[in-house]
Amino acid sequence: MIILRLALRSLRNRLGTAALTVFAIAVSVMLFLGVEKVRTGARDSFASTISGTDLVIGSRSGDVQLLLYAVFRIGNATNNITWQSYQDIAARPEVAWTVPLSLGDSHRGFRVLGTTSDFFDHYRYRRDRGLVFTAGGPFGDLFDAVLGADVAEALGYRLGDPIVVAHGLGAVSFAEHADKPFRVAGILAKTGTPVDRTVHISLQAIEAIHVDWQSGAQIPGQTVSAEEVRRMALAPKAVTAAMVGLKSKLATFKLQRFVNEYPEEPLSAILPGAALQELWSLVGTAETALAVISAMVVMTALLGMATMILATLNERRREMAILRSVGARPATILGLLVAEAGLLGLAGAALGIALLYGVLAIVRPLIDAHFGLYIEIGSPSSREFAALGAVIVAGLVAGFVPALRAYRFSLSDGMMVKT
Amino acid sequence: MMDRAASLAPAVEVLSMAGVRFRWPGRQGFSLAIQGFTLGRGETLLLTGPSGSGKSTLLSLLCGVVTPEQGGVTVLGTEMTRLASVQRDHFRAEHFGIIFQMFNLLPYLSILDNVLLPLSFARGRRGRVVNGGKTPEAEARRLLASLGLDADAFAGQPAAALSVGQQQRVAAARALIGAPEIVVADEPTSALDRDRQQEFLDLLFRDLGAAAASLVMVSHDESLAPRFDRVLPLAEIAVVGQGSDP
Repeated sequence: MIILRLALRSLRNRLGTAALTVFAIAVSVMLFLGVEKVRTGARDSFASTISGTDLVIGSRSGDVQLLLYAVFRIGNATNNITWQSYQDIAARPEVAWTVPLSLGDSHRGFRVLGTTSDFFDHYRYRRDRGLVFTAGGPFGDLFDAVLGADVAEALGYRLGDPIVVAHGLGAVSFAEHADKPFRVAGILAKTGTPVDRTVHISLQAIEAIHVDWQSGAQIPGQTVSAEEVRRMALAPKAVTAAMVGLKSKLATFKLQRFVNEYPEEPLSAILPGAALQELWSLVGTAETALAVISAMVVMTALLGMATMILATLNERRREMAILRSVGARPATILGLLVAEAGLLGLAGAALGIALLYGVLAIVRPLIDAHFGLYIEIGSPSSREFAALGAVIVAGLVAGFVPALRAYRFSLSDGMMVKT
Repeated sequence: MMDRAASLAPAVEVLSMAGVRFRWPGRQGFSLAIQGFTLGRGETLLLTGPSGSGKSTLLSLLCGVVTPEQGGVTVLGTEMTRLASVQRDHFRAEHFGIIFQMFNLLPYLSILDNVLLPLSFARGRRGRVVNGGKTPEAEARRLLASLGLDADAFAGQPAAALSVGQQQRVAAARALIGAPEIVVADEPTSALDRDRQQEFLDLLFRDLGAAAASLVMVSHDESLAPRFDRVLPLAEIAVVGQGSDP
């Protein structure tokens, strides 16, 4: 107890340096735990990009590739699913609902997704959150478009604005469906998923704008006007992929096998959760790098603390001699310095946690709104407590460096330091 | 008080050294040999000698901070060289009060806490204070007042707020609290001017007498000699080898 009391008094005597050291440790701890928080938040947000969908179906390809183009709108499908196959699957008894996804067009760099109004009901993210319209609603007319939050914000669209869909995926396109403009019918709230960066139009509209096209170009002399196309029967011939919901999760593997072994054409069915995990393991290396870097920052702060204690050691030889003269053992001197390091580490860790939660409370809504990254603010997890424990233990260990030096001083100096 | 000292040390000597040889570990050249040295109960002894004559080393040996290569140091009937270093530290805390030349106080403790410091390491001394019917704080205040420091005005202040002379008196109070048998003082007055020296010694000797403690004081100032029971030039008992006293 006397050791702890002396350590506290001694630190209070050097309040300025001690406070700076504590602050440095606190900032590093905040960074370390903050990275940890963002890491878990990012992983959770990522893993829940799509939920509530039991299977995603596309033409035969790898799991990750299918996930990338169907959910993340990255890359292209190698092939389509014929409308016949799509309807065969939709008609299976274990299937509760299906949502077709048709990709291939873009609008000023944002992907255009052809789908049905069911998409807005069945797309779920972050466990069980559905899509919310901040303005307007789902498709009412053939040429209605629903914009993701990022699209509307980046391009400054409001309800009722006309937009022209371009053929292909470039940001600058030379082949535009200019003869059949769309109208912004709805704008979705921010989700932090690829939905934000997507222009949604109906499946019929996809057919409509391609009705007079062949092999990626408009057929000369055969233009069909927007008015004429409205009177045509617009049954899609193929879709790119489909989201499938089942009546019972137990049927998942049964349907997956059915799709994978579908005799009419080569198809793949993937479990989105599993594929997301697989994808995360690819991009997850970056998070490990972040964690390593922030751990190094903590190490640096603790080294700074050890240096601070070491630097004051010479002027404290007199203090050590006084303590020895009143009966303190060299071990007591060692304990005193380790206790000082431990107290600094503890204070730094505690302040770091306080800073982290303070900062989180302020910036969390901003992060959620701007990046769609949802960071949980619960009580610190056992993992965080373990990290804090590690910081304090590392502080004690760092304290041993100056403490052992002081121990040797106090052995060799005895009580007779002439300073 | 005399009874206590007598019970702890049946012999008249509270401290004796014989045939001691010592060398600082890791420091080449310097060695100290002491033929014989004794200190009587309640005796006040002035050790004189120029710097480099091994005074500080002798004090370290007396207090058991270092142990000799040869020979024995007996304090209050206990052979110090037979004790483990932890036991020696404890023994020192219980039986020695030590005053340095200057910078005696821990700057981050209050005056009162500085005086109370030895009691944290010496249960016996704390026991003596408490058995005497006083709280440690009250005893510390009594000693401070007896040494001419207004306890109420100074007790809570940091040590740095005091003049050198006042700091030395606080150090004396710390050395005397809990009535250790032996007070060791290493040139305690050399940082004081002559008037302050006399005043300090007056107060120290008065309180020493009250506690029946023995005093070993080292000084190169022989003008202090008349106050002491015995004056011992270090050269008479000690032989210093090559090198210099660090």
